[in-house]
Amino acid sequence: MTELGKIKLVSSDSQEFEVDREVAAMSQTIKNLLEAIEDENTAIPIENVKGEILERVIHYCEHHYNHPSPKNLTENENEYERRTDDIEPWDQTFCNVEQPILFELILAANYLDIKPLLDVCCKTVANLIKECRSPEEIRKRFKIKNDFTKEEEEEIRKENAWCLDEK
Amino acid sequence: MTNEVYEEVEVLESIYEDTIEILQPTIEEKKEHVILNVVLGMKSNTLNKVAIKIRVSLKIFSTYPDSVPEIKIENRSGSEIKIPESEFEDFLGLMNENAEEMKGSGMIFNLVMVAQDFIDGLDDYLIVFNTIETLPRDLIVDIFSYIPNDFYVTLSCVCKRWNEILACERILWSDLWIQNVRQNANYFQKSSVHWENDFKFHSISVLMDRNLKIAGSEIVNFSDIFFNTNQLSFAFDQLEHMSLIRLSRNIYHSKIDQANLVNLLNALNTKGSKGLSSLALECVPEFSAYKIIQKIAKERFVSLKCNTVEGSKQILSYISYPNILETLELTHCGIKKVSESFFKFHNLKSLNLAHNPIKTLPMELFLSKSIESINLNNTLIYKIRPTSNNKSMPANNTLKKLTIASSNLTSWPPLLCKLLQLEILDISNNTIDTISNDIRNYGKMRCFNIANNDLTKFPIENVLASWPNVRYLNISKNKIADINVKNNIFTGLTVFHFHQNQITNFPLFYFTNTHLLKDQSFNVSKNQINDFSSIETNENLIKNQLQILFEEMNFNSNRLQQLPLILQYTKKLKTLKLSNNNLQNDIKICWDVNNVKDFREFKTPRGKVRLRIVKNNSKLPNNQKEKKESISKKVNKQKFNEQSKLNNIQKEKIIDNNHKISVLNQDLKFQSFDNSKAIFLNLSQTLTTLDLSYNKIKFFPKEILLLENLSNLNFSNNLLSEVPLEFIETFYDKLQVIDFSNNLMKNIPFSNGNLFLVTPKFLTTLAHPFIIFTKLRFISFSGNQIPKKKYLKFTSYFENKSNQK
Repeated sequence: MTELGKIKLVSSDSQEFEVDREVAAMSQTIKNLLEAIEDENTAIPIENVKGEILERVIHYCEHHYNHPSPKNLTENENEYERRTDDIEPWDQTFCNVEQPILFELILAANYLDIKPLLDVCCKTVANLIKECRSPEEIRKRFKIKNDFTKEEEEEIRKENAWCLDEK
Repeated sequence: MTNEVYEEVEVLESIYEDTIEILQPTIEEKKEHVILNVVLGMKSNTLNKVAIKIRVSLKIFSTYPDSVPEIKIENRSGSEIKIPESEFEDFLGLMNENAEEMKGSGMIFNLVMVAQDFIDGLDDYLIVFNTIETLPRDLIVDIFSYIPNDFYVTLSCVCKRWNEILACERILWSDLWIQNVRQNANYFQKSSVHWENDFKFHSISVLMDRNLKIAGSEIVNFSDIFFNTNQLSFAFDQLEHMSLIRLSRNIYHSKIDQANLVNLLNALNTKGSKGLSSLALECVPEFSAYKIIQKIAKERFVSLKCNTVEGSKQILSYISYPNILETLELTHCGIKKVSESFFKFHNLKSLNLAHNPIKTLPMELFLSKSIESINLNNTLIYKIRPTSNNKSMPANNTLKKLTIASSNLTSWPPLLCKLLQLEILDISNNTIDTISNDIRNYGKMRCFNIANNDLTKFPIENVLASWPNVRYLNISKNKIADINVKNNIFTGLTVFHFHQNQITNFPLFYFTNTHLLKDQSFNVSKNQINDFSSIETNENLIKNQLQILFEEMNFNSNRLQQLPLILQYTKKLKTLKLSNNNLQNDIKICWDVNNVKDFREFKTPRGKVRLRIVKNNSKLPNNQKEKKESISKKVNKQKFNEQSKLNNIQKEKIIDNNHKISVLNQDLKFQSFDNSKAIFLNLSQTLTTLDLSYNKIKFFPKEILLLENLSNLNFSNNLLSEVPLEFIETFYDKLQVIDFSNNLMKNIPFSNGNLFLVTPKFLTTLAHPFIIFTKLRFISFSGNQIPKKKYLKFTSYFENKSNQK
């Protein structure tokens, strides 16, 4: 039996987590599931998310459930330029993890449909990219294989030459 | 090595051509064996094919296939992948078992396949391994959307996938557009750099999204964008992906000159124009337009638009596939005659020949079985010519929309009555004087516009009864005297314009039609309506709790003697125009403005109302000597100067001091404002603009002071001699425009001679009364009887004020 107002989530590697119903409902996916499930005590399987990641996601949700952030920080419709310098300190620390975990968080946030988490992770990645000065640096940082042939690379370089020089 | 081995290896080579290698034995080893190495990657997940790899090494002896190859497995995956050793041990055992079973026949191929199955089954371990490359596309786009556009050049050099995403995800670029246009119109000059790069990422369609709000990559619009030469020529490289080119007027006006058009022509020449199906040349220099059309005339145009190109004949002759053309627009082309060459387009749906000096219109034009829309605005057409062989009009002609506005039609062309499928007909701005009753037969009519003609009669009752679909009806600016429709025969109309006619009776059905009442504005100006009171007597309206939601009502230039009572039912009225009517008041009625509660008690417009009437026969200019004749105990607001000579004593109710009296409205027939209390109370929260100019109002109607949000007041060309002091108190922080020009004032209002009369409230701060109007933008007292001296003072004050600003 789960406690009143709590539900049980099961990760892909069968770890179980007890979470406040309200906290879990920050995930649109879980919220929808909860509405569909009648039995309060059913454990909800989160098949695409490993325990290690799910734990972090729950941690995030609990923190933000208890410390709701003012809305205008995350969403400003009049501003077309999407900012990346508005990440809250807590979120910054939260996202300061190894890349594989960060990407898993993105995938999990996407799967669980937790928009603020997805936004903050994407912003973090965007910042990581922006810190790089050259394509090579980006490749190195994100372990991306350069799949351009030499000729293609040369062509692109030529096309953008004056543009890159400018910087 | 035996042939058998070779055959098997050959098959494997075809599958794993990059990763297979065969090591021949070295001489020193003196053993007869070859080693076959294959590196296998995971097949199922293309994103991760580099992530998990194993190398299978088979040592094949000369006795093969009767001996089992020696099998070695090596994990070649990246360090992030943690596959336990036991998996490989189990797998090696499996391979050996398989090999034993197959002993005696070719087994190399099968063994490699077993290994492939094994590696495909390892995806459990994949989930550990996530890089930016494993993210799905939409998440990458999400991330990119947080990166400034000028960084995209760098991003696109990283790898093919990113390059492709940046080129194709329009959303990334459309954001850029919105941002730039909103923030800085000059952005393009400054950073044309980035745009040029867009084009390199083959993403011209970006321009479209915002410009025409048409998604898809088929259309390019060069209007509104200033291209430099490079950009333009690059853009033209993409022509083969376009189906529409639109060279609109901006090209003509901007710096794009002949050289650029030559670029376009060259591009069209070399690249061809595959798929180019629409062409729009708007204000392109004539010479260039010809050349362009010539170059691409072979194309199968669906749509062709040319503006300001002389000599349509030539253009028409360039069109090689007349049967495909669906849209033809030749405006401003100097076409004088609709010749036979226009009849050859058998699939033409839309024809636009506006702004051409065409005089007659051949009926043949309507005979086409495909034509749906014809635009002949601003032509010289005065008649429609019957077909040469008198062929009668087929009943199933397809024309749905016909506009011959602003042409030379003097009478209703009878042939038009045969176009029975018409849904939209616009013959406004002609000089048609009569209209045939046959227009009833347009059973599908939706929009009918005959505004600005010389009609004296319009069979509105017939028309409304026989056009079940009509939504828009415009008969304004004619000479129609009567549009009286007794019954509510029609409720579908959403727009009905009948202003600027000679109508005397207001069509009552207007106020029973809920669709019309949803309109924003109401316009009956320039008619001869003298009374709206009949509406009010209609019990149905009252019963149905008539709610009028207009924001603007225009009663200008009618013969109204009273405020229209329907104003009581308005809910959102902001602008009220009553200019040039017969509104008048000859005696002064002072409503107790401060005691609004009293007003609310009297909602029935014609019922008993309590009036407070102030008459002042004192001619003393000084208000200290003025006799107070105000009646209310609480309020003595009315002690402003009353200099007016009330000559028409007969009409006046002379009232004893200190008495409240009740007067029936009917007793005050000469008062346009006698029932206005309820009206102005109703308008008090909403009305911002009030135009009472060109009436015969003698006294400032105090009801106006109820209007709490009034910012615009036009009182010019009346018979006012004074404005009450409360005017300042009520409006000092509201009015922006005040016009009291052409009245009978002898003083600048609010001032008494040279002394400014202001209420104590303002005395301390005021140097001049007009300072009070904190939002004032315009004030006029010209055309009054104000002595020049005072007037000069007044104007000079204002000049100073404006100079200071």
